[in-house]
Amino acid sequence: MKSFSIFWGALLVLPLLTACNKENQRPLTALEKQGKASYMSNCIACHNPDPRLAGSIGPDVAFSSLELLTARIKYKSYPAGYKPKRETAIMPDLSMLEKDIPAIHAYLNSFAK
Amino acid sequence: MNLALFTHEGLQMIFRYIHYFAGVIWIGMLYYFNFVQGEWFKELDADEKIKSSRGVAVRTLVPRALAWFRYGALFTFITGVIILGIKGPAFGGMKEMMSTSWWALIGVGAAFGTIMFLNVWLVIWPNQKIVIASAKQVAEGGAALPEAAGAAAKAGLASRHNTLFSMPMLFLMGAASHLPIQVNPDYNGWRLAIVIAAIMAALEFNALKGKTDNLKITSIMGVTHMGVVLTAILYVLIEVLTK
Repeated sequence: MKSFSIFWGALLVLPLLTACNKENQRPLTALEKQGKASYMSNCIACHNPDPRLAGSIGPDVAFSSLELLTARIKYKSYPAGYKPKRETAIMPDLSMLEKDIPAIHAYLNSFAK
Repeated sequence: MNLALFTHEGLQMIFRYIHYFAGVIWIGMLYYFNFVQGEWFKELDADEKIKSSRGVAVRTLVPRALAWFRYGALFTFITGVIILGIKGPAFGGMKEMMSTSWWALIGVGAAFGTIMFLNVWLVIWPNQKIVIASAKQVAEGGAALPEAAGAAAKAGLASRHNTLFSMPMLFLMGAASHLPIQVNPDYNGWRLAIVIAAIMAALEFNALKGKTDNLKITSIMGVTHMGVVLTAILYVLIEVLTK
């Protein structure tokens, strides 16, 4: 039982260590908060919860333009002449998020460059 | 109104739902055998007054549990293959799929799931059939089958290894979608595959020919600790070999 408590105890301490590694970001505006909520509920199955990093399937999306987000979310396409970061076709139809595009755009551009 | 369930993603979700349901049945039974039944049998064997209950359990309870166990494994495996079959082509190419963090993690997880499925149908179930047949023969007044003790040991060894494999498998299944790792799109997939295959082959060799002692997985405490250690080793390897 002793080894059990030491081993699993150590495992439980891990999340505390990672809690120190918080993203460094300024307080968000109401629109950015709305965008973050939409991003967290709809995008992070493939994109990284930290949009500055690559996700499990989708690439990093921080600093995306409104034009790019509209093309990807609403039409599953790319703006003319845009070179995709990844050559995949797996992003699903997310046109139901059309009204969230300005908020998602605000959130993705809220990070310090 | 557009219903999300009736889309390409919805179709995957239906198979994923069955995959989880069958998977919980399978792994639930696996943990029942390893964490509950095995310990209970030891207790029965140690007490002359209740020793005969083991034969009753092997004849009546174990076949029922094994049926849920092996068909749970079958449906988990089939739906897993279907999900990969639907999701894979949607990437638009093998190279595109393999360069994602999702594939690096789920690929290893699925490999462990596959070897576990094969252990169920090719090792555990054939050997358990001998154990059950022997218990039935004893109940009818006959002698135990001479190969029964060896068969029980073989099934137990593979089952304990499946318990070990289940821990990284569960981690990798969850991590594929919930723990994105930073993958270099040009990483050497063959190198990762060969390293993982070598580890799996060594562990599976022990599952078929070795002892639980070799890996310190004889006790419940041993197998759960080794499961976490194996998970950590595989995780670090995947992180390092995809850079």
